[in-house]
Amino acid sequence: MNRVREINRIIRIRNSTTAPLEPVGWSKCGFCVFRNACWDAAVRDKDIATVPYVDQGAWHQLFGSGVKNYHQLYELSEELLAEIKRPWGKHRRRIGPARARKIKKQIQALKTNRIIMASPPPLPPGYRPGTRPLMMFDLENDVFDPDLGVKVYLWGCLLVKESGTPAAKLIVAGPGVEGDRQGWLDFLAWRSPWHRGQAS
Amino acid sequence: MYDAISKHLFLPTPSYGLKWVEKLAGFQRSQEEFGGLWSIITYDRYINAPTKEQADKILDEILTYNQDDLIASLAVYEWLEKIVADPTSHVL
Repeated sequence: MNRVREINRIIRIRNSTTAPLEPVGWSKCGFCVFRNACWDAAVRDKDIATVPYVDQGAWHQLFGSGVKNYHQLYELSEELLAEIKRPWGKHRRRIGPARARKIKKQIQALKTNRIIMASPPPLPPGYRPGTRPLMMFDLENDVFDPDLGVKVYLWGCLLVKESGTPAAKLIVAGPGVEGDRQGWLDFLAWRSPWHRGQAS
Repeated sequence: MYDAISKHLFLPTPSYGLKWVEKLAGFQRSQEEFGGLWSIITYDRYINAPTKEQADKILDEILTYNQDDLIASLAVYEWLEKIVADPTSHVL
């Protein structure tokens, strides 16, 4: 039955002359080829879906009540927003005071184009201003092609020292399981200038 | 860093992902095209490139993207350091 319902939904979308009414979402739209088109429109319209903390259920409930952009949403009091019930699995659940407060603060940041600090962000244990060296990592995995045999296809590491240009190590995996394995081993084998300095 | 930002700050952006936060930190990418989806597609083009010359050119784009991600992360970290050191300069 679910398949028939899904096929009918696709047929309705294909026959429609307008885009389906759906909120944008980072996870949901992440790898969709139409993401930029939908997101650009949503950001331009200040759609409530572009407000972090407005979940999909809240979007449907609010959008259906005529609250479509975040200026309109900001007009709602925190107390009223907290009491709004939205779809939550098979049930309905209040947005609640904690999330309502975050939504209001988030909109305030968007409207004023300023950062709002809820509390001072913690930096790593032992942090002192300007502490170096530090390392940045950036790994990327291929979620689309399990047959390729490559899980992580991009390894990046940046070493930032007290002075001088940061040293980067960048590795791209070759094809297949062997490429995956070799990429990982090359990454592990990297001995940064800092490591070499420590060893000598 | 993501936790330090998302749990303690409200940013004037629709996302707290690197590609949005790096702009607040003043970082500019060296390539016009980038992103997770772009990277996966470009990696696929690299693996299937018909000639070594083409493969090398595509590889260069992928490595530049990865390097930009790393330097963007550093820019965000340094931006966060400034906020912690002097909250009044950046925040309400």
